[in-house]
Amino acid sequence: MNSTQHRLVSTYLDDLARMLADLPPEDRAEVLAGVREHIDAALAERPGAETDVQSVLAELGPPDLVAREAYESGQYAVRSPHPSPPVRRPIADRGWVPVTVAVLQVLAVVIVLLTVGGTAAFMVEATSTSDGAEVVTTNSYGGGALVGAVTGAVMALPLWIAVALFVGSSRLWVGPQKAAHLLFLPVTVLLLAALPTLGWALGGPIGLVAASWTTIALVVLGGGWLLARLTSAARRRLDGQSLPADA
Amino acid sequence: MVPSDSAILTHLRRGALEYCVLAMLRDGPTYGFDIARHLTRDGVLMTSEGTLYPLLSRLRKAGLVDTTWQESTSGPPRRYYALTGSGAAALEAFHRTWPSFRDAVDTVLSEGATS
Repeated sequence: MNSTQHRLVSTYLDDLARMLADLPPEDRAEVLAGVREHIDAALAERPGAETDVQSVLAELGPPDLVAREAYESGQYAVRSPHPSPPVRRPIADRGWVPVTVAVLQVLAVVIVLLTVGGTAAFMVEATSTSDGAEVVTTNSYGGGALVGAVTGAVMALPLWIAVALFVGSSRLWVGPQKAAHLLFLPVTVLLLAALPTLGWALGGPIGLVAASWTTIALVVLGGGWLLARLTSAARRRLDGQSLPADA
Repeated sequence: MVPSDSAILTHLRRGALEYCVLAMLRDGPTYGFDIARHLTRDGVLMTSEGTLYPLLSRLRKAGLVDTTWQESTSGPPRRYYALTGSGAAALEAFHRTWPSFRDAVDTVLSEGATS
């Protein structure tokens, strides 16, 4: 190659390199090396004048046509296995969120239950040891459930805030399901406070025992059912990948 | 708007050209320049030789083609392209599918809805 020919070739390759600038460096180098070798091979076949260089470059096609081919890989049947880096899901939409939220809810309910039960037991014990009278014991029970529920709610508040943060910003649940998740703990606390008190008012000691067990059964079975529904709904949405556009 | 002949060809190449490249490698490792010369010979499958190289790069990343260097009698070692196992399988699958596609298009074009 003389200097004119050399200049033509390097201009072509420089143009192509510039147009391929947005490709990953490795891909760009591969395409450029292939084209450069092609030019060398073509010129080796027909050593001669400047017109040969021009015809070799003309047969290669304009650099922008080659570059367009390099960028159009998405339109073909055969695609490279990693065309673009996978988009990271927002934290609240990741796979571990539904189960984590369910575990937080269960923990919160356990805390409230233990606090209510503990407070009630403490009341019973405190009154019976000081007075030894059974009437006094049960008399303070209703108030004990209320105090216990309020204490439990305060202790479980950090868990509820965590649940609210996850559920509020997640696209794995839709509006009513989010409301169900957020109301789950307040309603549980309300039931634990109100039902035993109501049982005591209506049926005395027997009413209290019946209402307490009913409440516990309601919270464990109903709450468990609700949490299972909400969690499996979120996991189905994860599997389907069909996230609504906005939360 | 009536598409031009070259626009129609551009669209038709999309599904077939990469398999034509694989077919070029069927008889063993082949030099890029030779592939380009074969494919541009009739001006139907490929008009600009340069577009072969992005295509080869894509086929290599998809694991259908491998590159090797072979000594050349003149000049530096040359990059040769060869079919991988999955490249050969892809070519075979296309080879199996293509005649029915071609025949179906031919039949429709020649007979319309008359038969």
